[in-house]
Amino acid sequence: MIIKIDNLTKQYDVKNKAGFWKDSFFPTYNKVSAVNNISFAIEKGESVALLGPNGAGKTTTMKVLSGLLYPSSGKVDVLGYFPFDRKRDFLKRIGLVMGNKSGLAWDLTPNQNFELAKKIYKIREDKFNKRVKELTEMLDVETLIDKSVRKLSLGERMKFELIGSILHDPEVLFLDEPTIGLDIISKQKIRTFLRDIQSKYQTTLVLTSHDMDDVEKVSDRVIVINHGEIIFDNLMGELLYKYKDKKYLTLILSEEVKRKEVEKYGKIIDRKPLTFTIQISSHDQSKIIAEITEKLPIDDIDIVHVPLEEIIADMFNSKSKQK
Amino acid sequence: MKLSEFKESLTERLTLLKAGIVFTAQRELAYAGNNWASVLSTTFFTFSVLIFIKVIYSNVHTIAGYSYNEMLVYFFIYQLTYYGNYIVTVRNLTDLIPDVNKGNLDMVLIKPVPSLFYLMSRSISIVSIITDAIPPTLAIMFSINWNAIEFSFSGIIIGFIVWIFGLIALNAFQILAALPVFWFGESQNILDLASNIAAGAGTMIPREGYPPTLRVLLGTIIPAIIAGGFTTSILLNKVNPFLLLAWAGAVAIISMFVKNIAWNYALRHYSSASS
Repeated sequence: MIIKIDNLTKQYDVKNKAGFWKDSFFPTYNKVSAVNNISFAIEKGESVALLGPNGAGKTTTMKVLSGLLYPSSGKVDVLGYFPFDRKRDFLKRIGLVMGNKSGLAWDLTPNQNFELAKKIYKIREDKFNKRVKELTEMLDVETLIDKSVRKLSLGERMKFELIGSILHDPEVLFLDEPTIGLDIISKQKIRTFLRDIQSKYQTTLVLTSHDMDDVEKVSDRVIVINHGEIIFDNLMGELLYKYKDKKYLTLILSEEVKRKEVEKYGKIIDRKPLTFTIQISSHDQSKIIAEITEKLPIDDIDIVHVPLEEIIADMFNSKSKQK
Repeated sequence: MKLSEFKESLTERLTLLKAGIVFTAQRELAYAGNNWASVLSTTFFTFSVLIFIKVIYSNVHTIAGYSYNEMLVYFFIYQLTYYGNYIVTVRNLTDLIPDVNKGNLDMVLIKPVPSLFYLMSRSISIVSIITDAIPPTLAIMFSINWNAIEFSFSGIIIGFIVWIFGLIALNAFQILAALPVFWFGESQNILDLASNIAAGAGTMIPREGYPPTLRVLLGTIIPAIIAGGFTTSILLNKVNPFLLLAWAGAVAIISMFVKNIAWNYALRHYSSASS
C-alpha cells in the first residue's frame, strides 16, 4: 500500500456569533467535522478519484494526505511517512496540482520557474532538460516556455502548473480540480497526459474533480465522500455496472410533440426545443426505440449510459433520504 | 546534527537565498517604473530627519550623551537596520499573511525546503536595496564627520555581529506578530503594530536615552533597540561591548528557538482555505 488512512477525522473550529463585544473579547468556537472517521488504502500506480459535493471533505482529505493539514485524529501513512511531518524525502516523492491555486510565480516565465524547481528538488541538469523537453512536448507548450506566466491563457498556465508539479518525477500526484475553467481541448490534453504519465512512470494519481469526464477518463477507482463519510469505494466499472439497467435516450424531433406523448416511454430527464432526453430500462430498449420511431416524428436518436454525474447525484440523494 | 548534514543544510539554504535574490530581482525588473517612486519616498524621509536633527542640535550640545555627529552615526546605523529589516522581514511577512489567509501557503508547504526559511528568503530584493536604500544612506554618510569619531577594529566587528543578532531578534519578533493569521485569518494590523513598535522605538532615541527598565524591555521581549541602539553604543565605545554581545546573542538564540516552536505550532492550525 502506498497510501493508507485509518479513521481519519479532521475538524475545524468555527466561531460562534455572539455579538460584537463577546466576539471581540470572549469568542467561542464550535468543532465542525470536515472529514469523519474515513478509512481507505491506495496501491502503487492506481488512479483514484475522490468525489463528493462541495464541502464533502474530499479536498480536506487530499490536503491531509499531502501534509498540508494536521489531522484531528486517525492514522495517515503516505509512502511510509506521516505526511504532516513534511520530511524532505516525502515531499520530494509527491506532487500537488490545484486548479484554483498557482505554484508558478506570475512575473517569471515557466522556464525561470522550472529553474527554481530544479534547485529546490536538486534535479540533475541533463535529467532536467530532458524532462522539460519531454513534458512540454507531451502537452504541446514547448514554444511558450519563455513567455511570462501572467501572459499565458488559463489552459496554457495549467499545463505548465502540471509540468512544474511533476518535474521531479513524483511517485504520488495529488490533483485538485486540475481542469477547472479550461476549454474542452485543454481538458482532453490534460486527461490524456495524466493517463500517459500514470502508465509510463507508474505514478499514483489521486484526483478530485467536479467534472465527471475527468473522473471517467483519468480514474480507475472512485471513492465517494459525503458529509465527511465514505459512501462508495470501488472500481469505476462497478459504479457504472450498478446503473447498467438504465439508459438515456435523446430524441431529436422534426416537429414539436406534446410532453405526454413522450412521457409514456420513460421519465423525462431533459427537454429542449425539438429535443427530449428520457430514461428507459435497458431491457426494453429495442422495443421502445421501435415504438418511438414508428409513432414520433424522429430525426435522430442517441443512446447513452447514465452519465456519471447523474449516478453520483442519485447516490447522494438516496443516502440523504436514508438519513 | 552531523557535520555533513549541517553542511548540506547550509548549502541548501544558501542556494535558496541565492535563488530568492535572483528571482526577486527578475520580478522587480519586470516593473522597473514602480521602483523609482520609493526612492523619492525614502530620500524625502532621510532629508527631513537630517534637517530635524540639525534643528534640535542648534539649541543643545548633547542628547542622551550623544553629540550631533554621534547622533548622525546612530541615525546611519538605524537606517541600515530599517532597510535590513524591511527587505528581509517586512516584505516577506507582508506576502505571508495573504498567503495564509487565501490558502496559497499550500504551494510553499508542498516544497521540500525548510518552509519558514524559504518564506523569509523568497523576496529579498537587491533592486530595492540599490534604489531605495543607497541614495538616502549616502546622504547620511556624507553628513557625518567620520574623522571626529574613533572607531576600534574590535568595536566594528562586535558591532556588526550584534547588528546581525539584532536583526535576527527583530525578525523573530515580527514573525510572532504575524502568526495570529493562522488562527484569525488576518494579522496585518498586528504585524504593523509590531513593526511600528520596533521601528518607532528605535528611530530617534539611542539606547542610552531610555530608562533602565525600558532598556531591558526593548532589548529582550520587544527587541527594538538591539540592532540600532546596541550596535551604535558599541561602535561609539559607550559601553562594554562584550556585555552587549552576550546579551544580544542570548536574545537572538532564544528568539529563534521560540520562533521555530511557534511556527510549527501555527502550522498545525493552518486551515488551507480553498476556492
